[in-house]
Amino acid sequence: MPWNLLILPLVAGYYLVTYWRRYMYYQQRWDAQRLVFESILRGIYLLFISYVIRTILLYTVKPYCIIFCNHLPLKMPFLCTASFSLILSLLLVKIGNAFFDKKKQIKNAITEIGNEIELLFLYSFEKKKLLLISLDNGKIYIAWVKELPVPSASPYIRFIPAMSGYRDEKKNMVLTTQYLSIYDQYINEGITKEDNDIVIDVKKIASASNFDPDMYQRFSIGKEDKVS
Amino acid sequence: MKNETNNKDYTEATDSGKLYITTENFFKQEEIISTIKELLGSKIIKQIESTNNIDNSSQSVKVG
Repeated sequence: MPWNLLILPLVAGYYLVTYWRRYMYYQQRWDAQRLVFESILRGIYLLFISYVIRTILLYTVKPYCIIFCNHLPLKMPFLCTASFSLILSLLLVKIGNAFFDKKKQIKNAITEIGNEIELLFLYSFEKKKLLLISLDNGKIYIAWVKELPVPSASPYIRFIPAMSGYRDEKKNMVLTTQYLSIYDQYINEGITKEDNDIVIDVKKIASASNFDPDMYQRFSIGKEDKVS
Repeated sequence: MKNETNNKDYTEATDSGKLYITTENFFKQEEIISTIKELLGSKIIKQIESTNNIDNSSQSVKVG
């Protein structure tokens, strides 16, 4: 096989990894080297399948294969085999995507290879739990996750804040604003506004954790008692 | 029937791989509604409100 023909299975492998739902949400969380390696690996699989199909066709319908090859504008050994790996990849993506639920695949990818912060955000998103987010500028938000982005495309996460405040000199939490009365009004009156969303750069998050109101109240009451 | 509607999964996903929920659907979720109600009756909110009231009254005294 001429070496330059190997570009076709490589492209096929890359296409499969980046567009097939089975792999694409994992791929978004891989580094560049892993993406190249996985593309080559999938390309080799596709080339192997094409080669098997070629062998079967040559044993069963050889005369038709020869006629077909004679009509091709380019005469090169293994051209059809290499090209078929690309066609196979396109077919797998188009047909295969119908069998994979994107929501389930995204969640699987985050659960299997997502980092700690992504796992925490997914937990909040799925279970509708409040998170306590501390930013590197001292600002704090108690919020629900509204949107989990594609990690390779955007570093920003969208939240719906419940409360906000700051950390004082002793790094204690001071809550200054609550948005819940407005939300309660929204729910009662059936109004929906996107104005309250906050978008935070993940790099600016100093720490994030689950926020348990009961636990917070117990700690703050305990502190008040100690002071008094 | 009401519970069925409230326990519905409102989360959506884009082909590109983004998970999201619209604001409208977000506030339809039973867990969110109950958390809001629970927090509004909690000491945390009362504390925020009282601190804000003190701040506002001290500001108005300064202005006056």
